[in-house]
Formats: sequence, C-alpha cells, structure tokens
Amino acid sequence: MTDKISLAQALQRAALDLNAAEPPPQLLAAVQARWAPQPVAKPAAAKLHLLPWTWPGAAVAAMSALALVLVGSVLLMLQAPPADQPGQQQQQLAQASQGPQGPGADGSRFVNLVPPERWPREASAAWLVRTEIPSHRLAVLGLPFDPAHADQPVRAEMLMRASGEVLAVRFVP
Amino acid sequence: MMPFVPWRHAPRRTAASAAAPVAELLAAVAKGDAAALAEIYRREAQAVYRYTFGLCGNAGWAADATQEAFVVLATRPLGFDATRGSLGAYLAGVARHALAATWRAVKAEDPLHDHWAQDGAADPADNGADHPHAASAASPEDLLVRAQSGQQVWAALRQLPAPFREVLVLVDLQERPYAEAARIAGIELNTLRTRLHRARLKLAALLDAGTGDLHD
Repeated sequence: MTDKISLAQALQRAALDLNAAEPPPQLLAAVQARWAPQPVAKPAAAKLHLLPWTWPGAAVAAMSALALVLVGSVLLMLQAPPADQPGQQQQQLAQASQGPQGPGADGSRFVNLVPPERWPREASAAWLVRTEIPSHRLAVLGLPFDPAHADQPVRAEMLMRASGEVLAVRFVP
Repeated sequence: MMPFVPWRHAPRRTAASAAAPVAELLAAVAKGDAAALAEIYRREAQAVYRYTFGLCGNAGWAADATQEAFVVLATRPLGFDATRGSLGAYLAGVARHALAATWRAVKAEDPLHDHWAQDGAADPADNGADHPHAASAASPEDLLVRAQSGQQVWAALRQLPAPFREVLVLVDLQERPYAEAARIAGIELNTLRTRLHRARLKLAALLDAGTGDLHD
C-alpha cells in the first residue's frame, strides 16, 4: 500500500528518476562505428591557403619569393649564350653566300649547300647553329670525308632556315 | 591592421574543445573529425536518451533512437539549421522519428503500453535503491517509500496516451522551453500548452484515483 501523492510530487519524482537514466556507455562507439568518418587531413598536408596567415609570415614568404626570382635571373644571365655582335649574322650570311671562296672570320670557309637563288634575302631568316656531326654524315651533304675517321665527330657551324633547311656549313677546329 | 602575432605563439584552437560553438563542431564533423562528434555527443546525448527513454520506457529502444539521431547528424551535419532551433531539439526530433519507426515496425497499436511491461524493458522507477539520489536516503523505509512512489508515478504516466506523456516528459520532466518542446513534438505552441494542461489533469486524476499504483 502506498500513499497518494500530489501532481507536483509525482512530476518531481519522475523527473528525478528520468535524470538518473544514462545512455549505454558503448553508445558513442556504436555511433562512430556506423559513421565511418573520412580521415582528418594532417596538418602537414594542409593547403597553403588554409594556413593561418600572420604579418611576419607573409613578409618572410614575400622576401623568399623575391630572393628566388633574383637568383633565378642571375643564373639565367650567366648561362645565356653571348649575344651576337650587331651585323655579325649579316656578315656570316654574306660570307656564306660567297661559297667556299669566301674567307671565314677564323680562316675557315662556308660551303654552300643550296643554290644562291634559294638564299634568304634577310639575315634574320637564317640562324647560325654550332654542332658536331659524324664524319660519315658529310657524304649526305655532298661533302668529302676521310673514311678512316668516319666515326669521329666533326665540329661545324651551319646556317639554317627556320624550316630546318641547311644553307651552308663550315668546319671549325 | 592586424596585430603582430608570431606564428609559434599563434593561438591554436581545436574544434573539439569544450567551448567550441556548435557551428564549428559541425563543420569539423563534416570534415570527419571524430573528436568533434564526441564533443557533441557529450553535450547532447543524455537529454536525447532521457527524452526517448521517458517516452517509451524501453532502454534498448531509447538507445537505438539516440544512436540513430547521432548517426544522422554525423553523416549529414549540415542538415541541422540553427535558425530553426537548438541542436538538442533537432537531435530529439530525429530520435523521435526513429522511435516512431521502431513502433511501426512492431505494429503495436499502443507500443508504450505494450512495452512498458515487457521483460527486459527498463522502467525509470525500477532504479529503486540503485538510484543515485536514492543512495542519499536516510533509511530503508525512505528507500521503500521512494521506490513505491516512483513506481506509482510511472505507472500513471504509462497509462497516459503517448502524446500526453511526451509533453509531460519534455516540459515537466526535462524542463525544456515550451517552444523547444513544441518543435520536438512537431506541434504548435498553443497545442502544446493545451495538451500539457490536459496531460497534467489526467495524470493528477490517475494519481488521485490510485490507478497508477501497481500494488493496489
């Protein structure tokens, strides 16, 4: 037998009972097991634009970028081939157009490989290319070569069109 | 201009910290941060579980519904709209749907009645002497009276229609604001007030008649 209780007492009693109820301790693990979340990105793999920017950091980054540009420019200048002297290419073209009789700047001579009418009118239409070619390739150009040294490369300068056509060639020591 | 903050001294915040706002935690959950989900669970799980437990009286069902609510939140964290209510109300609403689905699955006309008395179904009043606040009782007589009165109250509550019991659990037992309770129950605020008044009257009548006393 129990005494009758008021509504307020009843609600208070029920609230106390309910507030003592706890979810099972393994419930969170069950939730996470069903969730199977995507792995969180590691800080090392964080994207640059997500990193916290601060003024010193931005300054260091800007100075580093500027230093890289300067060093790169200097390296490019050191490695670039020396620019042709004004009129040098024109002189070489005129020299080559004179054929084997024309004197070279270093004493060698250009050998024409195409008829004169196919020579370009402007010096800018031809390029002087320094290369090494196997001796036996001289026969392809219609030039004599020593079969005893067919496997040895020969240093040469070739005047070429942009299309790759070789206009003239001369051999350099 | 922003203040000078060296990198190594810049404050580092983790999304799962106890003071993190809900939106920050949800954004972290969306990125797969399990610690953020655990923090949300720590904040909200008790209330969700107690709501479903008070509603159905079945610990297993309540746990399943609570689990479902957090799984839904974890998989679609951006589905929560803070402008429509608190995160606790959202979770309780999801759990309520899950609980209703369980009821429908067993095809019970009044599942609350059917499952209060099922074997293994936990009754909040069954906590008895193991109850935390019961441990502070001064004597065995106090424990007995408290257990008996608790059983009497819950026996009366389980006789109420589920919608009446729901508003009593939300407002009188969990002390949720009316607006939040109405949102969870999916009813208008005026409907909640009316229903709550009728539920109290009916519970009082049951207690007065002693029909809630299991030992009569």
